Amino acid sequence: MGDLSDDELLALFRKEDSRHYAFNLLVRQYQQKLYSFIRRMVTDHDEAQDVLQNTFIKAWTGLDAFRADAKLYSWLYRIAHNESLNHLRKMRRGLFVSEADVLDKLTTTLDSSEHFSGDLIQRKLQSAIMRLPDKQRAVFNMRYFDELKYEAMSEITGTSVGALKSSYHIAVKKIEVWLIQDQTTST
Amino acid sequence: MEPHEQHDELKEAPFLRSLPKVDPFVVPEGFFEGFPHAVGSRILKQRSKRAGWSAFILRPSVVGAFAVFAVVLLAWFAWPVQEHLESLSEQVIEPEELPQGTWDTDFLYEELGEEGFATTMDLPMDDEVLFAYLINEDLSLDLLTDEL
Repeated sequence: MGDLSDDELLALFRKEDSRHYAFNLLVRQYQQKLYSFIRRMVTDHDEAQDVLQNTFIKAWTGLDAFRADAKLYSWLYRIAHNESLNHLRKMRRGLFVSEADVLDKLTTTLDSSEHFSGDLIQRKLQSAIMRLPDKQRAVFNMRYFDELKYEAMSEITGTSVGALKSSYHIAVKKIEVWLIQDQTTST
Repeated sequence: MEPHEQHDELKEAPFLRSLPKVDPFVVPEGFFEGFPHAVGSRILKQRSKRAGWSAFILRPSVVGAFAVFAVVLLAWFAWPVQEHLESLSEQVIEPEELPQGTWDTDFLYEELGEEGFATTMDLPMDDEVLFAYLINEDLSLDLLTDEL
């Protein structure tokens, strides 16, 4: 069965007898895209799974109030974005947790071939991305990997298009510098 | 998507632009097949938890206990029990209620504080004056002595 449109999914969801079926379809339709974004934010698979589950649970409880003036994907993406940032915030909350500890935890996944299939340069790129502040990292991932339009990103993050453009521009510059520095130190 | 615009945005980062865009994170096999089911079970669990709580609230024994508690609470506030208790604790026997000739001047002096009484009254007082004072507590001493 092909993907259903937002309207078709919502119409099914609003009928009591097809509610669970519609939601199952919705999860199947959007899980991979949302998972990719979340995974790039939290890096660990188990944590990404938790965040993705929370995202869909929130979607389940809020879908009745969802107004079709926004795209379903943008709305889900927004929940995933907020849940990822909340998760990262919680990671930093511990009394003796330093920024270095968090970075260490995020990059640990990159050292395991079980969880990371990229080559050395991909590992360096991901490590550089991890060094960005959370919100800027989200902006970078949305634009660079998911290739979202700034208008859609604005809807998701609640930030103006101008601010997003400058945030992405700065992120690109930082990553370029870090990658070059890393290349020169390793040669 | 805006591939040209995206490409332009990376013109100041030639190294980054030269890298292939890949998703290097490994997803365990079969994860996406089982995930919708995992979400569905969590939703059902939450619903049954909520339903369990509602069922508990609606159990006749719980409803009965709440009803009894509500009645007791209502009675406590509606019934003048508290007022009655307060009135008992604040009950004052007025001097005129004392049987004539049975009260002891020394005792009253002691109760009122001999020194304080003496400084405020500062008058030689016999039993009758003192008795009148106690009866007309709100009146000034001058008025009392005038009346007497």
